[in-house]
Amino acid sequence: MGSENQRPELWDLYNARSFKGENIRVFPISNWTEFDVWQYIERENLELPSIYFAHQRQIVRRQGGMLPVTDVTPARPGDIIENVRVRFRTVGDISCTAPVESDADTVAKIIAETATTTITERGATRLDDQTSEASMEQRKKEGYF
Amino acid sequence: MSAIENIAEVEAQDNGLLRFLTCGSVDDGKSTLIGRLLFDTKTILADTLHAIERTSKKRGMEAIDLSLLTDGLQAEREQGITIDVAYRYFTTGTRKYIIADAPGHEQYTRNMVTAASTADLAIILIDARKGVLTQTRRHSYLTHLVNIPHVVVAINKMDLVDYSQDIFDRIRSDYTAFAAGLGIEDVRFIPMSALNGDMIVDRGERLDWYQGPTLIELLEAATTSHVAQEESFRFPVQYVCRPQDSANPELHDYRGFMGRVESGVIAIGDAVTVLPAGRETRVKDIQVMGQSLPSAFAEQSVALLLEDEIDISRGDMIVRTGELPNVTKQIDAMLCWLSELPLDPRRKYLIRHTTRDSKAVLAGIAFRMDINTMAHRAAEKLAMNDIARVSFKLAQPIFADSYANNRGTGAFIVIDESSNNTVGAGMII
Ligand SMILES: Nc1nc2c(ncn2[C@@H]2O[C@H](COP(=O)(O)OP(=O)(O)O)[C@@H](O)[C@H]2O)c(=O)[nH]1
Repeated sequence: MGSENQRPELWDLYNARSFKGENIRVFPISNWTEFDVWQYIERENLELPSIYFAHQRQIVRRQGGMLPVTDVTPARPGDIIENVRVRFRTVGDISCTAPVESDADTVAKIIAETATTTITERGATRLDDQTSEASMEQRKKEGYF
Repeated sequence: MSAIENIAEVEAQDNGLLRFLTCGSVDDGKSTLIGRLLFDTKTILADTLHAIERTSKKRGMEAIDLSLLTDGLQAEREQGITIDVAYRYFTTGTRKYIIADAPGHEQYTRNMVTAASTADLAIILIDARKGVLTQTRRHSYLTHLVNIPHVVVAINKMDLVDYSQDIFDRIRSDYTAFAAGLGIEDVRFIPMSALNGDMIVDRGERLDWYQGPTLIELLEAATTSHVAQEESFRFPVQYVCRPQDSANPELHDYRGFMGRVESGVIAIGDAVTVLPAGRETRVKDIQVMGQSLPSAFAEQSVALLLEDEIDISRGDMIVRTGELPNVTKQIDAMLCWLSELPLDPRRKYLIRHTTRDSKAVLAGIAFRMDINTMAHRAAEKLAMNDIARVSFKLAQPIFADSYANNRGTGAFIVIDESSNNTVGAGMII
């Protein structure tokens, strides 16, 4: 079914009936904040790729954010390459995923940092997002998840 | 500058989650109020703030327009994507909040019912210059219909009536008079100016005559938990766990009845009755992930083990002996119709009630509710957004309480099997 057919969700009576060949998309933790996610990671003692923890990395600064210098996102002429201690709050396509400056190299430190953060995860790290408040919805529509 | 700025330390204290709903007519100040709540609780996020600062400037305003905070989903609405209800999240450090924002227009009854179905509290906005309007009555009726536990009437734009206590008192007595007629009892009134931020998080300076709590104080204190001792125990079975490990003789007779406690509390040793069989037995054990618990209460997901071997499957219900619900194939209910296709009295529908599905046909429409005048009207069929008192005949019995007594076992949805869509929301009388 198209995303136009979002079914009303009443009480906790979920209607997940579908016909053969239909897909249903469910966002079971769409109301979790970044803070919730990290608390869950801590409680369940989940293993994570090291990219989520603070590490040294070459970056350039653009549009008020940072962009990692990689093979697919090389520095442009005039860019100043810096070596900064960063971590990634989301990991997606490297061409649009930006790290944040951070010393948090453990889950506990990330939780402490997250609890006092006032910039949304998407705002700080997704460079293409700033133009449109609607673009997360757009992504859902395009099947980004 | 680092992307991370510190504003407030978030403390560990946890008062759980409160879901609330905001209702008001267009321009009563709903967006401004929500924006004010987010802004004054310092939970508005820096990037969002930058975005609305930019937009405010672009529109030539010198101060930031807080109503822009809630306009994020406007674009999708314009593009015609169905987002029935917009949800917004904030946290104060002691409590997490989910705000359900249902569009205020008349034709959005179904959106409001949807949003209200999971709300613990409703804020009904009134413009102090206009007083109680038809929309106010409609919103109040709907919050009452869906039985939202707490209702707060926010009398907004007090700055435009010179913060007059007389005006506040008059609106309050108007409201109380009509609410009593509907059976609405527990209502709180707060005078406020969403624009100036009076009585939302800060008290402000012009409302000295009002001694009651601010809006955020009310939200922080509102109870959300089930009153377990007063509720009947209801356990709709979701799944029967029968381990397939035949090599392990200990597991051979294991039958775990898994589900979520819908209401009430149960302890090991308690006498229970299994429906529809009507068989009585006792609780042998209560387990969560292999661990035994002495008791389980509302909203906990557990496995119950029973002393006697009883044939139980999904859709059956375990209740406390002596506290039986109605076991019935005929239900009377208030029904909100959600679908663009009208309710067709000749068709079969599927009714989902707790974990049980049953085929059903309409047995009659007692009346359609005119939610502007509260008058009862005769009706042959129901169109989208209609609310009516109806009865259904079911192919299989359900185990129901009245919705007024138990939201979990009093609510049902109607599914159209030809589309699989949810087409109706029902509340058993
Ligand atoms: N004077 C005054 N204006 C208000 C107040 N609350 C909202 N407004 C204004 O009323 C208009 C409609 O507000 P808005 O929040 O968009 O209303 P909504 O349609 O209910 O979301 C805007 O121009 C607001 O600035 C208030 O308390 N006092």
